[in-house]
Amino acid sequence: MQALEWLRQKMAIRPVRPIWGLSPAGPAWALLGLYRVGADLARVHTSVILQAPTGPAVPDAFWLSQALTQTGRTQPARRHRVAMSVDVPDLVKGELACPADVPQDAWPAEIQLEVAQALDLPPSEVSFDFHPDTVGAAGLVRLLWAGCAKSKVSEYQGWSAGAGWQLACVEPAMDASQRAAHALVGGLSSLLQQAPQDWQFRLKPTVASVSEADASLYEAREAILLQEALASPMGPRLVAAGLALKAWT
Amino acid sequence: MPHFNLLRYPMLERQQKARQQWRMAALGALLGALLAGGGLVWQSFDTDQLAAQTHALKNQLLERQRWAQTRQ
Repeated sequence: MQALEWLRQKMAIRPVRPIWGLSPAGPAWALLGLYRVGADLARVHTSVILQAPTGPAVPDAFWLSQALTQTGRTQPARRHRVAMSVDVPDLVKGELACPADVPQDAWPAEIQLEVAQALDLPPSEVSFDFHPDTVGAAGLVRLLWAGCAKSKVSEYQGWSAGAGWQLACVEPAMDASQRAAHALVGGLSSLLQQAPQDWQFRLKPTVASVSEADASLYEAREAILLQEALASPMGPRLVAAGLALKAWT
Repeated sequence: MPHFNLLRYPMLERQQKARQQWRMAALGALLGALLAGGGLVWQSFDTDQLAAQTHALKNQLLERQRWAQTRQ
């Protein structure tokens, strides 16, 4: 698979099927598909807001699968891959200082207990992921974690499987939006000036070269721009784009 | 920036472990089949050797019996 991916990058072959991101947008869902153009660029293939049917409240499970099925029918792919986002209050994040002598095999169990405590659920009812950050001076490993109820993930799997789609990833919405913001050609300031259909994303975004003194100022400005973008109607689409981008970054 | 995938634990992890176990089981079965096949080939070769030796010894015995009869 890696060899195929490498060959595709080298030859800049456009994949036949897009990669999808699906993010909640109030009662609706933002669905955005990206396809690759060249070795370092992804463009928007499809960008739609999937609206719940009007009338009496219908659970997402009933209409979302149908909407995905209909969207998928228009694209030539046997099985679409989709990444979905989860956000507060369903999402919990945190960090755990773990003694460096605790074996790595024991980390998942430690994190599982932390997540279960944060969600007030039994440990068997949570889904989570974690990454070691740094080894502190006191021989502590800082583990960054994120988690949500397993029922949420099962719900997402049910919706995507109901449409014949493959759920590849469930990610915190903020992480996805940051990825999209870093990769967006033209930067966040151009987000609202472009139609989502015209968005383009660098697959290997470069870090802005700013001096150390300006770095915090730059980051603060980017954070404000991101908050504004997320609060705008384009926010869920930006998250969806970040989710889809994960397939390539 | 860490990239979390909340599918990973425990679901993907469990699937990966199950896949790993299947792979190991398949590899074990393949190795077992190869060993069994090798054992059968060796046994067959050994049996053939023994049969050839038995045949040669029988021929020698017959030869000696014939020689003893002619001397009598």
